[in-house]
Amino acid sequence: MVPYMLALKAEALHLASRTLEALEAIKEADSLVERSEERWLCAELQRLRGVFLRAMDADETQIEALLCQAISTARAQNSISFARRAEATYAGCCRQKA
Amino acid sequence: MGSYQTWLGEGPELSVLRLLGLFDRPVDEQALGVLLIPPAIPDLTESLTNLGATEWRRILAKLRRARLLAGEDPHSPGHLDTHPLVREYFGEQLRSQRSDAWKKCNRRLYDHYRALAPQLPDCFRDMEPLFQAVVCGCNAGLYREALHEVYIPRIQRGNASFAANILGARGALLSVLAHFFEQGRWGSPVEVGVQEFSLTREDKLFVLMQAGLLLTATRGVGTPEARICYERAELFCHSANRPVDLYAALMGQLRHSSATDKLTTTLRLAERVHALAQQQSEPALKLGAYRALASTLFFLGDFEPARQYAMLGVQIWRSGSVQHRIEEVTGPAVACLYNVALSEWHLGAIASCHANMAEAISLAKRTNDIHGLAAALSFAAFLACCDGIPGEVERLASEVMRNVRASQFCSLAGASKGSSRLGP
Repeated sequence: MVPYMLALKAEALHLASRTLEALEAIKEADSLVERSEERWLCAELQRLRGVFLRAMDADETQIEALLCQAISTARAQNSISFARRAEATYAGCCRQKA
Repeated sequence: MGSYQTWLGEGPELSVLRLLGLFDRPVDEQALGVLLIPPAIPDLTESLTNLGATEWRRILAKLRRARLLAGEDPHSPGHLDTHPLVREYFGEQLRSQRSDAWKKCNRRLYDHYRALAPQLPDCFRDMEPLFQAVVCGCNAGLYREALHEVYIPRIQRGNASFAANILGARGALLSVLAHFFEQGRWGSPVEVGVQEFSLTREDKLFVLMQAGLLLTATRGVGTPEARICYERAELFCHSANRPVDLYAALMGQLRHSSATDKLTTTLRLAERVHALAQQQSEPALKLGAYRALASTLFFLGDFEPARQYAMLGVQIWRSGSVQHRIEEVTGPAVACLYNVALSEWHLGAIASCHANMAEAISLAKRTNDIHGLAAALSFAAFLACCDGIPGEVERLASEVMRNVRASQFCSLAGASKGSSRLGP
């Protein structure tokens, strides 16, 4: 559950306008997932990375790719709930772009 | 301390200090009296037995003047206390240099403490003399007797695990249990002692399993000492053909693995547990095996198989076919229920997910499964967080915190922040 804790920490940092640190927390979570193979949260970590990069006005292609990856990971794991979250974020992103 | 010893010279004062070294707390008159009654304990109490009250007061006064003995406590008249370093120095001296006297003292204290407590104490305060009795029994070399006459029947009340599960005295139990092991080595039950009093192979297996469970419950699932206990226990199980204990030893290793290894390593352990359960065709083992597979697969991100295994566990539990309970940190039925719920959340079966999570919480409360309850509440908080219901997250997190405070489980310390890794 440590990756989940780090995801919560990242969200809190992002809400406190410390998005760069939030991305660091996600990076740490990713590395833990890699080490432990605790993959249940992968889709959410990818979605959050996309959200944070978007807040930092990062390259749109990169953000879109991350959100698509989150959707695809969730679908591959049959996680309808995480897929919906990622799709909603992606849709919000597209709306804003339009 | 050596200078004090030289200054005092061999005599009653040193004997009093050595007697105080037998205790880890202020000693009361009764316990001290047990050591001072005739016949004298050779090499220790000859100069103290049959002593008049005046002479006794003179000895204590001399030690108090030298600040080797605390002043009399008006709230505990008759109690004698000294600095822990004094206690440690003279206690160690007694243990290492006058081991016969050390054992005889502990033998007397063992008899005293086990007679002092009610046969089956109902509260921690009444249970304390039994904890001391076991410690003294072990110090006296009476390992088997202390285990079979006090620890198992009176402290833990056999399979009920009374002191651990009802009184929640896991920390105190662990301190007591440490005396059945070689100094500082949790994987090595004591080998010394006269054959008649020493631990049998089954006893060693029992203390290893108890230690593994209590170490996990008090220090967290990743504690390396617990793994050492379970690995050692597994060896005993293979040689003694004890499938139920083997199951528990493998589950212990699996718990540790879930916190420290790659999950594919944990999954291999879960598969071993599953194979053993199938081979034995025992519902309790199958329930535990399904729980192990479900939990590991869930964290691996394989939600559908995780749900299927957890459902199989729930079905076994609901069928009522689980006749005997195997001592575990978290009840397997509670774990299966919250694993079903978590998997269902991912799979989009939200209504069923909430019903199963509510049942997991309710079952944990009914069965006084503190770890299971904290885990279920933490996971429920995770779901509420994902569903964007902050009020519910706060309520559940507060309930987890109340649980953690009421117990001594460091493994749950992170739970209040959302949830912690409360795997299989």
